[in-house]
Amino acid sequence: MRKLFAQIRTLLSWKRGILSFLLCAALSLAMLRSAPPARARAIQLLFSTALYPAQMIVHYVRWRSNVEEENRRLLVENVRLAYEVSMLQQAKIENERLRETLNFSQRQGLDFVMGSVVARNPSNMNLTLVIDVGEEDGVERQMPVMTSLGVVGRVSNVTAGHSHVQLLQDPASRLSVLENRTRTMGILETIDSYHLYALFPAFSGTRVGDTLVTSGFGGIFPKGIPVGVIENFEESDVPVLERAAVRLFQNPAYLEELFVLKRRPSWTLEERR
Amino acid sequence: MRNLLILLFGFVLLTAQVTLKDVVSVFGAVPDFSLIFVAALALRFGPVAGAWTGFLFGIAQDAYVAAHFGADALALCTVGYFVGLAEEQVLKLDTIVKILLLAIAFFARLAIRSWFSDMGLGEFAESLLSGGLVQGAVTLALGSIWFVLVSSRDRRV
Repeated sequence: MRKLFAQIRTLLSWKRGILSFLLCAALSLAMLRSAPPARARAIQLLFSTALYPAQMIVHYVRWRSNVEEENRRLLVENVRLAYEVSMLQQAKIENERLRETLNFSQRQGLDFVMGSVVARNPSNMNLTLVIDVGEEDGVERQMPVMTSLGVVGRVSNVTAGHSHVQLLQDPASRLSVLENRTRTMGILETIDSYHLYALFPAFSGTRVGDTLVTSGFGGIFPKGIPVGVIENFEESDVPVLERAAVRLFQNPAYLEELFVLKRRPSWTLEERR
Repeated sequence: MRNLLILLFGFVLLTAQVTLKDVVSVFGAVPDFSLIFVAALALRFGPVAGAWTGFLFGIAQDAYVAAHFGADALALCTVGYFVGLAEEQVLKLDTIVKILLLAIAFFARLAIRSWFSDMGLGEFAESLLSGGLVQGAVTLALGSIWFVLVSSRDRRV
């Protein structure tokens, strides 16, 4: 009896399977043969019920993945734009500087050749630097070098494409200066290459804030080029001289483009080192 | 609840297969997740579950394609039923036979669908050569991985 029941159950189970399959197949065939409006309704029903949660999940995953990708792309774009802004700012500063220097060159009505600083003295002291113009550009030894702000130094050595500029900070360098207000002549020099002093005759009447220009003496620098301003007075070793600390108009730490005045020295006194 | 989650998982796979072709494609071919899913369920739960799942997923796939509404339902319910029947009635299948069965199911499904889509023999052969075989290989590879994972889990249990 039990065996019979088991056989019936197996048969029913098998029949349930074949019935399910036949039902599914019949439904499929009915759908295949159904009219287009009925198909459209069935499709709409499927999308709004069974497929809706799946669509939502896939849509969400895709949206998240797109957001992350977009975020990464924007981060890279942000860095690129920040770099571009930085470059543009540099270009703007350079443009302003070059515009100013160009104006200076035109104002002076003199024959200048412009060079960029390509190397500096590697020591801590700012004694010399190298610019990218040389003999091929008409540069010669002892030509004055300046910027739109004031004197920088003079050409100490020339090669075909480059020139060495001896700065005013070189202790071996001396410059004859003229105090603008009192017209007192003095000598600009330095001992340690950091502090520049102008030596004037005692009781010359020069004061803090007076400006110094080149005197034209010495044959290298023409008269009247701005040099610096007197910051204070210090006690002089020689009683007949006043020792004025001078701040240069052109800070040598910020030199990028320089002008070499193409003017041969009328006469030169070179000091022996 | 568990069955509903399984169905939802299957529908997500199907939707991904249909809508995210660029993401889920392997070597340019989109694996037939619905076939793997239906075959796996049929092997696990028998021919009734196989037939109904096949019908449900077939009709869902038809809804996306919409050209021959019902052709995929018929193909997948047939495949689901016979795979389940093979597991239940004929023998306890090992992994190699399951993979072989999946390969047969793939071609059977393709043949049924093509038949009801009014495709000729030439078009059927062309569809096989123009991507059907690659899709079959990718589907078989993924199915094999799935069956190996499931059988190793069953052995542990």
